[in-house]
Amino acid sequence: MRSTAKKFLKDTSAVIGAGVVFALLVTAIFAPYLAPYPEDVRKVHPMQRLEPPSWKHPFGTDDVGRDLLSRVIFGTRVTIIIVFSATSISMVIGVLMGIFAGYYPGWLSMAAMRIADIFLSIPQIILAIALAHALGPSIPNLILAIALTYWPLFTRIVYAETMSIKGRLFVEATLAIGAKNFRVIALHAFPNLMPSIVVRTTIGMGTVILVAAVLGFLGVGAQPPTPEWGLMVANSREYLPDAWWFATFPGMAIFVVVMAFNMFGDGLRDIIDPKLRRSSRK
Amino acid sequence: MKILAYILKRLAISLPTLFGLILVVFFLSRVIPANPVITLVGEYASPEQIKEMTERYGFDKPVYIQFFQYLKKLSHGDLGYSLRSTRPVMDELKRRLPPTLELVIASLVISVLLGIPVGVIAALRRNSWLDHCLRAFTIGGVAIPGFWLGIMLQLILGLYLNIFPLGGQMSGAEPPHVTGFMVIDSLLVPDGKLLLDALYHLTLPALTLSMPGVATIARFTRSGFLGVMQSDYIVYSRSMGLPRHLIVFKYAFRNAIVATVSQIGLIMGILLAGTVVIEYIYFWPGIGAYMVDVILHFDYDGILGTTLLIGVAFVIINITVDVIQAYIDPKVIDTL
Repeated sequence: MRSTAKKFLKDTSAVIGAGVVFALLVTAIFAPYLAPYPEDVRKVHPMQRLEPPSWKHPFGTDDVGRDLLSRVIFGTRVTIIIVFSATSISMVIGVLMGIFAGYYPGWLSMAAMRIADIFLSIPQIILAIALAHALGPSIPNLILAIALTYWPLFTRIVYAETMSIKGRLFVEATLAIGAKNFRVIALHAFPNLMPSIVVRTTIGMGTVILVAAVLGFLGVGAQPPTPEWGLMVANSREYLPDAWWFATFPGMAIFVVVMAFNMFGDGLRDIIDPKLRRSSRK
Repeated sequence: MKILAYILKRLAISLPTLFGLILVVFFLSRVIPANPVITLVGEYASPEQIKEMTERYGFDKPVYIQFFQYLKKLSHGDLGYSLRSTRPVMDELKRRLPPTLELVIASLVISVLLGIPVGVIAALRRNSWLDHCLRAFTIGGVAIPGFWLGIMLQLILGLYLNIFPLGGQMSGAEPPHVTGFMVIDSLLVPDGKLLLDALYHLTLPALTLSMPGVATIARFTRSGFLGVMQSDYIVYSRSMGLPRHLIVFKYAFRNAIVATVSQIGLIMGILLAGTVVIEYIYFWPGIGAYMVDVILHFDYDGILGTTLLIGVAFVIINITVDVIQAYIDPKVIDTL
């Protein structure tokens, strides 16, 4: 265990990634104390619209005079809520279906895997846009739209690994001495699946943030005045090229956070699951 | 012969998935409480008008009957009418497929031309500062939001420096329609001015779209190269004192590249998914922009037709990749 931690600490990129993710969490928790103008999440100031960056407003102000830095800081909360709820929901659905289908082969499992195939047959973003729009734009619906289109990735991985674990000798031995299936799944299959689930989740978080930002950008995700980064970039388009800061900073926030999650995830993968090293990423 | 049988088998397996895709998207789009007819006739239409249009499009019938009617039409190759443009969906897709293919192919070319050298250099200079810089670049390439990168490029290279146009496929005049690919059509005339215009318009969207492609290819090439460079036959050639360039380009390259080629399907997926946002940003008249448009306007037949097209495209891409792989690496044929 200690050598694992040491190995992780030696991976500079992973440590930076983990640091930024930690900073993101801290920012989200203490947003009201960190933001220079916490009331600007909603409050508009028509007299100071589209002001360029200054000491007073380091990121400038937006089209209705709100401090952009404060809104980017509060945006961390939106991002955190979306990314953690969407990934956990899809993880639970995906892992349960994957274990079930891998452990109990039969027509029901076949059906489950075919459904996963259908969802994987076109890019997730397209289904997510369609579903988010059909459900109506709001944060809970956005989370649902992402979760319902993201679970098949977990199912695929968990399914394959459950099948391989089930065929292993120690599982057969456990069953032979009379253990119940549930016990095998909970105490033997699941712990063995944990590493790849953790890795997949961390790496997937970057993707989830990107998808959520695209949905916000297209207007089918978060709605104004929610300080969601993708939505802020979308609003900024009318005020280009003059108000460059309006488009630049919220987008940069997405970029930095996604990059951090990816760096952190890559580091985790290299340690936990070396055989997956630098392999596919969706 | 074996490959042909394999292709047919794969196609047969894909059919149920595509059917499932239509089923899922069909019922998903019909759970929407909004009436698409209202977006069609406008909010101020009289109730009679709405009723008439609803009946004409069959929206008054039970959903499962609508589904069977759609399947019946589909079996005749009829994708229905786009509620939004009131034109056949098939015509819309035919008109919009070439621009998307042009964009995706250009991005794939950029991804390969940039990604493979980046990956090779990173592998050959393993753990140097250059490798670390390139690693940051490859991680950044998949992390950057396409819509933001697009806007930034439009802002800097389009609005400030005025080098590239902000969007669209051509400034004005278009070459006579032959293939629908502006670059190829202007070459066929041939008209240098039109070709230049087409390339100008293609540059920014293709660059933006190719970012994650470049990054992903560079990653796979790097790891593929590292793996091959450590294998026995390369170690042997090195200890024999063979020149480095011969080892790298003649012996290692072909084997190292297999890993990359096997991921072309994944990369095409990334690029196709990217067109949705990139085409929207750059006003590119392709399938991706159309997809956003039909979804936002509850254009049922438009959504179904586009989804089906993308699903079919994925099936074709994946089969093609497997076949290419079999040609590069004959061992693969036995596993088919």
